[in-house]
Amino acid sequence: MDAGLARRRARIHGKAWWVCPAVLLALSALLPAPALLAQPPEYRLYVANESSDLVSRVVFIPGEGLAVEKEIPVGIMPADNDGAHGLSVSPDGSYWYVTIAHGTPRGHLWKFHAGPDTLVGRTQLGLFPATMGITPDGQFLLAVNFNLHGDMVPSDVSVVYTPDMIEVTRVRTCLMPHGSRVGVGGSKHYSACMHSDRLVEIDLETFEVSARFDVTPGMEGLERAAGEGGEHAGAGHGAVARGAEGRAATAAGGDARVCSPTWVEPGAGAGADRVVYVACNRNREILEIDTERWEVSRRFATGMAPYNLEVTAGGELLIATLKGEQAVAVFDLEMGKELARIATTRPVTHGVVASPDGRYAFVSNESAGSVRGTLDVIDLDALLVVDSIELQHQSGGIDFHSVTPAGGGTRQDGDRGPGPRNG
Amino acid sequence: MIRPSAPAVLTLLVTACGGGTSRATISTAAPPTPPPATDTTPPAEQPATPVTQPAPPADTAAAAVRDPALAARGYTAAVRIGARVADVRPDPEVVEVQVGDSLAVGEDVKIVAYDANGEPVSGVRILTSLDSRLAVMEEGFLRGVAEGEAELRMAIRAPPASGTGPPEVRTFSAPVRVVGRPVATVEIDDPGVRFFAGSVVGLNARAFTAGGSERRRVEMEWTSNRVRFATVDPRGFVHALVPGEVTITARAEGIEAALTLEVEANPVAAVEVSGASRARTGDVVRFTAVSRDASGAEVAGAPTDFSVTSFAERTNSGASVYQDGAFVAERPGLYRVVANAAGRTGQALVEVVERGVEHDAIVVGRGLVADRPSSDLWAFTGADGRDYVYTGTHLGGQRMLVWDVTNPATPVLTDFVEVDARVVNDVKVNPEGTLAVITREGARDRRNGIVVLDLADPAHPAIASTYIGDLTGGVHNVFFAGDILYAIHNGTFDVHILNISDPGRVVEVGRWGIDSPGKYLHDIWVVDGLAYVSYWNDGVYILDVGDGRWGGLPAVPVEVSHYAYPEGNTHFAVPYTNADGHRYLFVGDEIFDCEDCVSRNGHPGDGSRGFVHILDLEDPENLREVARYEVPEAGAHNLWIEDDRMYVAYYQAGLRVVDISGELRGDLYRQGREMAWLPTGTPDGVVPNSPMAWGPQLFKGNIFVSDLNSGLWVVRLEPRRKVPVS
Repeated sequence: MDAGLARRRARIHGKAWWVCPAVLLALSALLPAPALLAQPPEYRLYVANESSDLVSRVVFIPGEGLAVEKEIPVGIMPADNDGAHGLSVSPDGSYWYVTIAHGTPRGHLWKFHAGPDTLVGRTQLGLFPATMGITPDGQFLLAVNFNLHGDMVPSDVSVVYTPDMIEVTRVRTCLMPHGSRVGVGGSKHYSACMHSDRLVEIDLETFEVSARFDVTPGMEGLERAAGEGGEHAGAGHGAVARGAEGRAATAAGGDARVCSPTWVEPGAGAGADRVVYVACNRNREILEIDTERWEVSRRFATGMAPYNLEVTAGGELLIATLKGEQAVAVFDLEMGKELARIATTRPVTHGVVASPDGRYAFVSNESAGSVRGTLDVIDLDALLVVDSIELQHQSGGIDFHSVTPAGGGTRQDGDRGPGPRNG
Repeated sequence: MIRPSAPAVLTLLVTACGGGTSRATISTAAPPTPPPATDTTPPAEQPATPVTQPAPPADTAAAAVRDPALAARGYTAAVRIGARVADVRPDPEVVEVQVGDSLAVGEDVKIVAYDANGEPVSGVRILTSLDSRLAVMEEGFLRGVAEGEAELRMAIRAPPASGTGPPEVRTFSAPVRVVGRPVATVEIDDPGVRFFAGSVVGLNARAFTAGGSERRRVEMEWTSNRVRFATVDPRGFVHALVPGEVTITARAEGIEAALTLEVEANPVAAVEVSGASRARTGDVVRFTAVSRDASGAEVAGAPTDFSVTSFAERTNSGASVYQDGAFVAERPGLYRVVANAAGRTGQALVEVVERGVEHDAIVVGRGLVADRPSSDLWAFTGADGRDYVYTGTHLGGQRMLVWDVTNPATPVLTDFVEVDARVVNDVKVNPEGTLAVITREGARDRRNGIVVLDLADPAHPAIASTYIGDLTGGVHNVFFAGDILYAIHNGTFDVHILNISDPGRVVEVGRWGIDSPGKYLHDIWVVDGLAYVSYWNDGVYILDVGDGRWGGLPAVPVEVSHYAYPEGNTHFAVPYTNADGHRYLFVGDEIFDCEDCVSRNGHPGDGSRGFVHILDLEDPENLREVARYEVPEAGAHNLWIEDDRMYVAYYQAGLRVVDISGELRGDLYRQGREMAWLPTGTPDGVVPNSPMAWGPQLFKGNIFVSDLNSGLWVVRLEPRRKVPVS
């Protein structure tokens, strides 16, 4: 066994073996023993299917597998593709949000009650709203307006006050903002700029840009003259034409001069509010950026087109989807080493989310054309795909909703959707 | 995210066994807490200044003593101060910006918070947003785009009333008036009539900017210099009283135009009304009125208006007569048309009978497509002499399907072309039948464009080339005009003009688009050197692309005119000249998400509405809406016009066939002009029994219709035989 893996397992499970008996003993007075010991957990999550305008609610029960509980239609045009792109669950699990990206021309944000999956409200955003980040208190949702097509002009991040579903402001950031995440402490928001080669930090107290970090390979560093927009970045560096999303997937080799960041993921655990990870889609690497010193602290080489990132809740693992390689890369952040490169079931690997207990990663695969997307479950101990299910067309935006004890959770039998389609 | 039945217990479990805390645990284990304070310095009052003041200064501590909310711990100073805010308003309170101008927020317009006593509050952070087709907020500037009233939204954060928990956001709004450029000239249109004492004549005045643009929303003030002879009301109607010379003035923004008129003694003694005495529903009957004096001589220029009444007992309407004398009835019956000339009236009766154009729509054949939704179609005769229909596929579709319809009763699927797409929305074949173009949306790498097909073997078309260029965002529709292909691009929302003379090497040779912040482009149709561009809420644009009268060339379009209507959602426009020489533009709107849109799947607005607007196209520079065809419970989609019949794929309402012969006025749907309809649903469709007609085309006597849920239909019309009741 790989030494790092062994150490990681020891870290995850070793502590459990000596802590859990005491904990379980204490719990035994509070919970009926069979409920705790006999029933496997149910992991529940939502996945947006962009070309079907459906959101899938999926449950995974170890030992039983994956099942689609429900498919929730979104969008307003049955004869057109509204484009359900990003999906985020509120921190308290009460709501989920989906960006309806395609628009006429502006897109929208839809808010649903999680569980009953009924529509709560909607609000208009900008051009091609994509990924979202939500503050820990659930009050603010920040959606990047990707605006990836047409003439490149600076775009922005929409700030939505979620109780009233009102867009309260937009923060102009850069060209093609993508990836949207709020730091664990809730004071900073991060997004990447695919066409500007920038990482942008927004202060969530002022809702103003507080830092711009150049991620152009070889030129990484804080942008001192914080000229808004960053649209000059490409020209300023004499960069080659910055690719649209996924262009790197067809590139024969990486582009040494362009990062084309598609995602930024804040660190967790020891890295919380200290580092962020940026996926350089074209340069085939992930940057760990120290946001206190504003410098690149580590680099992780990846396969083709790293796209979305996830850090496990304890901060031990970094998981990257490799959009151009139909795979997921798993890194041990303590060792700074790639533990495994795991093939996914269908191409155009898109989103990834880890279960809060760090046991599983759930990966959406868009696939292509009329072939439906899939959701894969990766056992983060075994580093293997342990189950997969076919969803709808272009499965992309994904977020975790809950883990509940079987039989004691939120699912009602009558609430089951079409059931498993594959496996 | 975790929602345990016993939160504290589960938190403990996860923390201990999992070796770390999760996002879910953090957020659910305890009630939300205020964010950590980033500024603990007690703020001080400052004079009111514009938006986004920096952190507040010192003497707010004293205020905090007076106001418990300010003392709430854990909130930043700006949030604490928010508790004192009772209102947020712009200064000046009426924000007015001209079209094309910008106001600097913080300088030209200040956003100020006030307390309950109306005193400015400093130190609070105010967020603003504004996004409208009329005005936008960009980088601290508020820019006027089009005349009208937009809403400026302002928000602050304040501690909640309970004093604990996350800050609340309180929002305020203020109107932003976007006004046109200043009026430079005013013109009063010549009414073309004389002003006889006792007559009421409406005048029309128009205001123009220095650049020659008409100001449509300007307030016009009317005055008469001799109210003893004639008055004029605020709507511009002149009430001629007694003979004498009067000057009527129209004034807008201080700019005037005057019309001097002579009120004459009323010579009209009688009015003779003439017109056809019998008509069918939907027929436009032109009535004329001749005024005569006491001697029987014709009085020229008498102001005349028309009205109509019905003799029916059960209804009192069913017909309309317009001020140009055009009469049209929706229901059979006897009608009285009255002409009023300066208080004298004449009348005529007209009997209206059923139009009697009903036909039966007979299904000739079908090509069921049940594994994926279908989209547009094109029918043509191939190089091999056989007849074909190509259909696109949608929402997870990836293919263009090839149907041999030489025997329309049995469409045979001969092949399909598969491309990297999830929507093949449009399919067009050039007039020669040698090339086809299909559009791509939803490509795996989000680089879409078009695919050119070589139709040397039309039963098995081959991909000649794929062109992406700048069309990465997806192409929704295309149209051939010789060697030029006009492509509607979802990314730029411009018309991209491609030279396709070498199918293997497509080249972009031009581009045309409007300058509107919320523009959305949907379709284009080109006939005789004029392009009709459907620009959603900006209406339909007519471009000279080779007609030449306006100087346009195929790759260098010149705008001829445009026409927008309140319903918006303009998605399709087709011109047509009927057998009687009437030239119209048929414009469809595709409306979703409206209050009346019937929900199909549980979400508001998941239905469609919209109708066909019929514009008079006699003068392409001056479009006028004269008629409509509106199925009340459904939404119009694509249409085809030939032989004075309009074939409409009316989404949920299936295929509709409408008689558009003669002059058109009013609502054709209500006039018995609908000839036939066919619900294109089927139990074995993608969605069973759910018609969603997409596009029609008349071809060799049959109507080919694609339906989103059921694929291809072949339909024939037959006159309805009325079966006698025995």
